[in-house]
Amino acid sequence: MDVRMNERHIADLQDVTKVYGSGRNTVTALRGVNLRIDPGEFLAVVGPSGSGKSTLLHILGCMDVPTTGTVEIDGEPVPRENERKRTALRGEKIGFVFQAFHLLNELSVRENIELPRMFLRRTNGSRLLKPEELIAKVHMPVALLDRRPTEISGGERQRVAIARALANNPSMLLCDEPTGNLDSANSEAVMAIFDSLNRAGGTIVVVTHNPEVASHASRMVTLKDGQVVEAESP
Amino acid sequence: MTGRSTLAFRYLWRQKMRTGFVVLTFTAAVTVTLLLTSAIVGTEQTFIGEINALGVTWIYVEPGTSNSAAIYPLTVGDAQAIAHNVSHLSAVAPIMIDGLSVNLPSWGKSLSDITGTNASVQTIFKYGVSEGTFALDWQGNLSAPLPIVVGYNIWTHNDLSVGQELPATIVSLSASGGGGATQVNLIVEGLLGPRGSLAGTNLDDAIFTPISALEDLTNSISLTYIFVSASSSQYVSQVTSDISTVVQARHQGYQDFTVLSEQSWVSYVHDQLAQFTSIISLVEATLLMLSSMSVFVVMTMAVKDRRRVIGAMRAIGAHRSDIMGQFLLEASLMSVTGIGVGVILGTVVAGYLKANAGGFYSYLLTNPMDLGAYFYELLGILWAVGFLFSMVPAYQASRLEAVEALSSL
Ligand SMILES: Nc1ncnc2c1ncn2[C@@H]1O[C@H](COP(=O)(O)OP(=O)(O)OP(=O)(O)O)[C@@H](O)[C@H]1O
Ligand SMILES: [Mg+2]
Repeated sequence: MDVRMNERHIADLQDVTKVYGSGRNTVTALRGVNLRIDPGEFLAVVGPSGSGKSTLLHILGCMDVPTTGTVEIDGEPVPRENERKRTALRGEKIGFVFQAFHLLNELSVRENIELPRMFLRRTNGSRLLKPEELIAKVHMPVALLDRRPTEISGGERQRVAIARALANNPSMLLCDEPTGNLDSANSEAVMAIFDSLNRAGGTIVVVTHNPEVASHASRMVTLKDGQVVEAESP
Repeated sequence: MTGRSTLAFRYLWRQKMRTGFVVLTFTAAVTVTLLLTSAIVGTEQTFIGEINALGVTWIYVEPGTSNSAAIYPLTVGDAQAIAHNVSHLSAVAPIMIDGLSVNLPSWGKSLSDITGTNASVQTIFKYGVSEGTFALDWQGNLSAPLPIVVGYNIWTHNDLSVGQELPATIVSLSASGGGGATQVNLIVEGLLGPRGSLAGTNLDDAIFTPISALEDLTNSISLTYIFVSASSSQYVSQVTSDISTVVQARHQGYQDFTVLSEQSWVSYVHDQLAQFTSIISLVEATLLMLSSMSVFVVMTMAVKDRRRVIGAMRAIGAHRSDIMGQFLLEASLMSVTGIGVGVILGTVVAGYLKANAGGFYSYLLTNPMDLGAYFYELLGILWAVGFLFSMVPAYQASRLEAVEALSSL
């Protein structure tokens, strides 16, 4: 195996601390988190409510910056001050999937899937998939492309959200409780999509409370009070 | 490929009421501005066109100045002095319009504003005579028939003919006339051809009678003005200053009258109408405030409603500038639509009024291209101020923290 490949991580967090608020009302959401994510990994982040899982995901996705510590995405350091650069990095390298889907109801499924491309200032050279190809990746019929998010089920919406997250061919999918609003059948469908994406080489991070979901991952990180207490391969 | 404008149109369409409200305020602002501008520019163009049609040789003398009332009235004596002492003249016409009411039992109606003058009026106002003569000779005896020369509208509407005698009761409405009623016989001496209007006065509604008769009837010697025509345009300035000298000498050295040439009339009309321009500016400012406030309020509501969407867009790679641009685009679409609809609506209303309302409305300009740069500056200002006001909510939207925005309700 190429040594360089081994050193290159999709994400590298070093000594990451996140403190919210100021004065007496500070909350320390993350304390000295070290985390590396390798290409092709399927990582589950678990832990009790308030343990800092979402905070960690937001920092990984360049939506937020750590109070101290450093973050690298795909070998590029995430700048603390340069908000534009962080946004560009997010648009090019990160695909977000949320519990609440966050699709735009005014746009069709097709338009939702293509929306992230509107914000790209440059492409990373790779060919971007057509909406038809993306919708196939999330195991849905092409006919769905012309519907509005309000005209499809919750499970379908989450799959569309995954297709949208894949639109810019990201280095990593970041999913915060992706099955939190879904029944078990739909959760299974979503996990099947993650499995197939991961088998095709995709890097996925899933924050979840659900042990069933976590069991699909190749590695599991447990947070407690903002610290990694356990990191294991299941 | 999803476009910003697609997204903008969809959001504007979803909030039809709000969008309609903002568009309406811009439409109202532009429609009102267009109609006012059309009226003022149209009036100015018409007046100046009519003044220019009289030629460049005429000179106008009126009692009083812009700062003070007349000390001595302008009289027929002044007009005669001008005619005798100023050279290079082609005509001098004293004009007296002194609120006479002429009751004509045979017509079953009364006419007001009979103009006392002499035959020179025909040359100066460029009247054509359809029938009869324009002499206005008078024996100086009110028991003899009083000659009148009748404007086109009057004689065509009343079916008059030359030589026709009209028994009339003349009541002076002016203070100097003492309110007395006099029985006279009018005799139609001439019928005038169609002439059109001059600076808001319809020349075809005129009835002329000898000036000395009107002096007797009204018991007054105060002229309304004197019209003079120089024999050639090259003498206008010399004649103007000579008239001043002659009349001032007769008025014991007081410059208590105003002498205006065609040139100064044009700028006088321009200055008078320029005062209305400041009224437009005031109305425009009010409507500008209204439309700016509407776009501000509606965009602020939109930003508040769409916090989660803003968060989602930021999460999938939207820059702050994308968010700001999106809201600015929506605001601009509303204002530009409102402005466009306003120009169309204003043009249609101006065209309708001009075609159907008559009178003052006939001065309206119906081609927005003729309104001049000022109108387009106003449109530009309207758009720019609307844009400026929408920048505040758009900027606030762009400053939202992505994580916070996503978790808002
Ligand atoms: N914007 C914020 N301001 C202040 N405190 C915050 C903020 N966001 C998160 N926190 C706090 O930071 C801690 C970690 O929050 P975080 O959302 O990361 O937890 P979590 O593990 O995702 O919890 P859950 O499983 O309930 O989603 C919590 O104590 C939370 O109250
Ligand atoms: Mg969370």
